[in-house]
Amino acid sequence: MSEKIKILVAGAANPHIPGYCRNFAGNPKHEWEIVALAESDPVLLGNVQQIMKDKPVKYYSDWRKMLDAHPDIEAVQIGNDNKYHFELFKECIARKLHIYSTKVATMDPEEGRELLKLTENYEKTIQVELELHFNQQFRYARDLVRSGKLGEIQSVYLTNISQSPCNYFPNWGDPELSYGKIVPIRPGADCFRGGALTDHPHPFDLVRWITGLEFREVYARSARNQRKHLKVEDHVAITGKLDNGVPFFINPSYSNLEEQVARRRLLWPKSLECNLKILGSKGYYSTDYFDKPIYVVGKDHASPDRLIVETSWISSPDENDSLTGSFAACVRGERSTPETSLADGLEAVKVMNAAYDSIYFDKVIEL
Amino acid sequence: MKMKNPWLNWHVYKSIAGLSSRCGELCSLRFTWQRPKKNASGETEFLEVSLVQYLHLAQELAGSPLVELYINKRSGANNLFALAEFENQVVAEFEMNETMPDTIPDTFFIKANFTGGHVTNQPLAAYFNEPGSILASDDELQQFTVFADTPVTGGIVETLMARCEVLGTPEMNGGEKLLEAVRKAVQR
Repeated sequence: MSEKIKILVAGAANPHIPGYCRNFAGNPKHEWEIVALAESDPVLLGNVQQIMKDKPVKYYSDWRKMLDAHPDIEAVQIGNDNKYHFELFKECIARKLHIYSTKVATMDPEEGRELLKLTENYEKTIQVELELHFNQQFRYARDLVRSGKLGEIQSVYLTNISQSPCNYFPNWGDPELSYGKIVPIRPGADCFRGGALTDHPHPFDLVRWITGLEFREVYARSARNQRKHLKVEDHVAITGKLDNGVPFFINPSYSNLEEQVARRRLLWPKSLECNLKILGSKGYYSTDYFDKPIYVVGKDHASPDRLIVETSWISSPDENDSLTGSFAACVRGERSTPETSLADGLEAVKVMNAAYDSIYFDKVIEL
Repeated sequence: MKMKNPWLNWHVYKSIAGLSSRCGELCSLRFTWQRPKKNASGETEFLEVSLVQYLHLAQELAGSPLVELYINKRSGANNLFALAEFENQVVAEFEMNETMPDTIPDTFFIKANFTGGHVTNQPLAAYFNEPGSILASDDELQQFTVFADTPVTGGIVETLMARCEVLGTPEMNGGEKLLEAVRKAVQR
């Protein structure tokens, strides 16, 4: 087994962070050793402390103090609110650390350009969390396209629809913390950017990664919120054109309802919908994120007495072939480039912002 | 002559319209219309009959007039995505494609998302409510779970038999006694 990399987790504001902590706590073969975690919100901090209670992790309320206390650390996971990513990123770059960004590096195009400039010849790894690259069904799709088996691509359809995490991560429903600044979804609206679209960069990255085509024009609409209390958008539907005029459709919404409870419980039978349909001149491929779904109603199951999807994840036998494993392999020098780079992440953000602009200005946005 | 819409008699539309009072306020709709090439209509009928009729269902469910319609159509083909917005900010999404491989059957779904629920005939698992991915051409249709199965033409039975060729077929403990029981029961 390869040597674990030592990593600090700066922030537990991102809803994915507890999952990373859970995997670290429960898997003795995990490729990371979380040395310390910093989080200023006592509720979020308490949650991850409980998850990793059997691990010798140090805790801080301030990520700067954490970085100062561990000058020999090799890597940092950025897990705080999106608004603060830029500042943390720059600090990690100044300290010449390997950086793992949980979802978007920044939603601000200026900040994005500056990060790219700062890291032009950066010798350490920067990986952006875009985990669907490790989903076997989507890899198969990419291989099919590259093999030519589908022929010339005619159209692409992809949904990345989930429940809203904002009940149990209220910060995720704060437009300024999520989007970085307060921008109405449309002129005069009391609903703001920073919702489902900001939370779901995956489909924009997946379309590029699977097809090899770039986005050329975008048109989007946002429906009235299903969650009236939510200040950020919970629905966006996007269509447009890729290279060669190929039409695409993406829906990255929070359309699947959840219960209004503090601790996550699943309501819609399939809390996550990630359906890909690619039509080519020679064939058609369609796949669902839940490759082998079974449905269960169980008194003692995750969501008691509700029909929900139960499925087994097809994991790769190669430990390095995972979200955390591939980052660790890069840090150890076993892999030359990360699975998803800062540039990949920012390309997805570019399309996301184009969708937001399309909604706001009510027009097609060209890229 | 007044325009007519047979889809108003569609049980899915009627169910959504009938159940909507129990689900809160309608917010968004997703319409899927997929037909194999052999069932395709002409382009004018596709746009001015099929799309208009589907759009009419959306307007009826939204209960509000159309204010915005954007159609993103593949040039020279019955393959489009469209976004419609109604005055009350209900948004309807349309995926309409009549250029599917001939091995794919007609597929019509609606998913309606409300403030307090959902109504849909969309399968929970992708296409046919079966596990696995779909790979289709005009000549063959394969359903398989990626990296667990060797793709073969056919459905669950064919895929399972292919899996057994790779993994071996497990032994059936006590199978002989069961066979005897079946034979005896059949003879009664």
